[in-house]
Amino acid sequence: MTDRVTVIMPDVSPVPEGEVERSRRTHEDLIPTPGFFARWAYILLPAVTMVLILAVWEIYARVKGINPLFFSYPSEIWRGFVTWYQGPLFGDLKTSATEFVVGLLLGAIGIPVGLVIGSVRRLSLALDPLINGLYSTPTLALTPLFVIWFGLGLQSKVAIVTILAFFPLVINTADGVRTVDRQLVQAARSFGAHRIQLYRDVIFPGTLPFIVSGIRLAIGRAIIGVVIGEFIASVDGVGYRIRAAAASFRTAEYLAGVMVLIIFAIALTSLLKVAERRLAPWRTDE
Amino acid sequence: MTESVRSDTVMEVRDVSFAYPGKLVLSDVSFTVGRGEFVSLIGPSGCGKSTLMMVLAGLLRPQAGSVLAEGRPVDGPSGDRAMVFQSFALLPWMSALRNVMMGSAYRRNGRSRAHLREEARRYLELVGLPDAQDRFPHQLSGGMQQRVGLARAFAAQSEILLMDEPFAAIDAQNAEILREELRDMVARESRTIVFVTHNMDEALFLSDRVILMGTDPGRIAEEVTIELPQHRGVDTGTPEERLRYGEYRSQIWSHLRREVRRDRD
Repeated sequence: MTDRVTVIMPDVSPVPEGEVERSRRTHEDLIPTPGFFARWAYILLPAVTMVLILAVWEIYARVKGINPLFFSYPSEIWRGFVTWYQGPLFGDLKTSATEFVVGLLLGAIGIPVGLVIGSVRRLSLALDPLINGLYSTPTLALTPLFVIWFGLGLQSKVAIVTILAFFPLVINTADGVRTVDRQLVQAARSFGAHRIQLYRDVIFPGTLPFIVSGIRLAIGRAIIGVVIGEFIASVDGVGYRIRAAAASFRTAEYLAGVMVLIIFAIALTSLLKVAERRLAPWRTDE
Repeated sequence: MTESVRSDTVMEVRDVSFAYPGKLVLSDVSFTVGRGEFVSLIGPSGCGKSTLMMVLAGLLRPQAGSVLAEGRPVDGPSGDRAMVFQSFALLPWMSALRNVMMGSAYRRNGRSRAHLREEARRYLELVGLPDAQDRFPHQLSGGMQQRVGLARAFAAQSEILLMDEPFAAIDAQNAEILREELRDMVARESRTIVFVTHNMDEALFLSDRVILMGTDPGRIAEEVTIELPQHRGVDTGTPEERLRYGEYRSQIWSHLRREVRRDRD
């Protein structure tokens, strides 16, 4: 074993003026510029995944054959969707969307309620078991009761969606308030902030990321509320149509309904991500 | 610095005692701070310096004793005493400019928002961040964040500034530069400053007077009036001044060593 030491001599040959200029430009070139695929990867990659899944599904169904009673495949589901489109699609969408939106808006009362509960320690001690209990209970079991109270129309589903969306919003908002940096609160107070200013400038913005997570949970639960509510008691709506199609073994049509729900859920979640980035840039762009 | 300035008392702390449930943190703390004076509180960790700061700010209410600011008893936070925090405590969702405006926005006294914005801009320039106004705290280094913190405190236009170890979380070189800048700003703006630190040289570099605190419970042990020219340092000034600097330092150090030892036993 011999230890060999390589001495690298510094290059001391003088560089003419123009050469310096050129070498500087070459260094600029070293900064990588992302190519087309790198820039659009966040759209291209999931799109490729989707197309692959659909293609494999379709080909498998065509080659091996699928009993249309038990399952379906993309082109058949599309046909089911078209049938629905020529029929009551827009009426169903309108019903379900109304239930979803109104229920979610009423459930949003959970946000101010959570702000208050999170701020008042005694209140949170007193109410925590109740709220956590109601959050964890399968509130859907109350659906028949709401149907008795409110009938088959919009109201019963709005009530289910409201109660499903309310609790995650309360819990997340209250948790958010509790985790707001105490030092920030002290800073604002030391500069003379009054209660309203404190909520506006410190507590609410500090809680916002938690509220957004709460909204994400609430959206998921609200969709479940709409669908299950319509399964149980309704005369139209996406959930009603799914159940009706399934009950009469129109499997393709039924899966078309499920697809609509999936697309709706994905669209809302993406929208929320964009909103989150807008609302809380200090959390995401690091 | 001069004798005439000292005569006017801006803040008076009278026999303040503070306890958390089960623990006495401050015991009979009394001292006064004159107008335009820079007073440092120095002591080993756990001597209640930060708690004392909160009491001075009005964020904590002492069980006994009182704090008078400009002759009026302090009974809550009011913005008459601006704070600078060790952790900067900038609002992450506000730009540097809006963070500085926060110092004055809660007590506008009829000043317009445009005026406050202009003032905030001026103070950001003063702390050497003229181009940072639209940047958010997470886009700034620690040293820059504390510059914003300083600008915010100065922009509040309050007579008294309370600084709780403002440079303890900043790297050594930046802390050194910030100390010099703080010294210059204080000289220019003539404010009264109560400064908490555990760094002897920092206290000696900045203060007109150093109050030594003891632990368990936190109390005032000694006061040292620092008679050195305003521009000072470990290795600047006349030989006589350097000698005096060394004497102050060893006086403070022997106290701190005693307190830390006592605390450990």
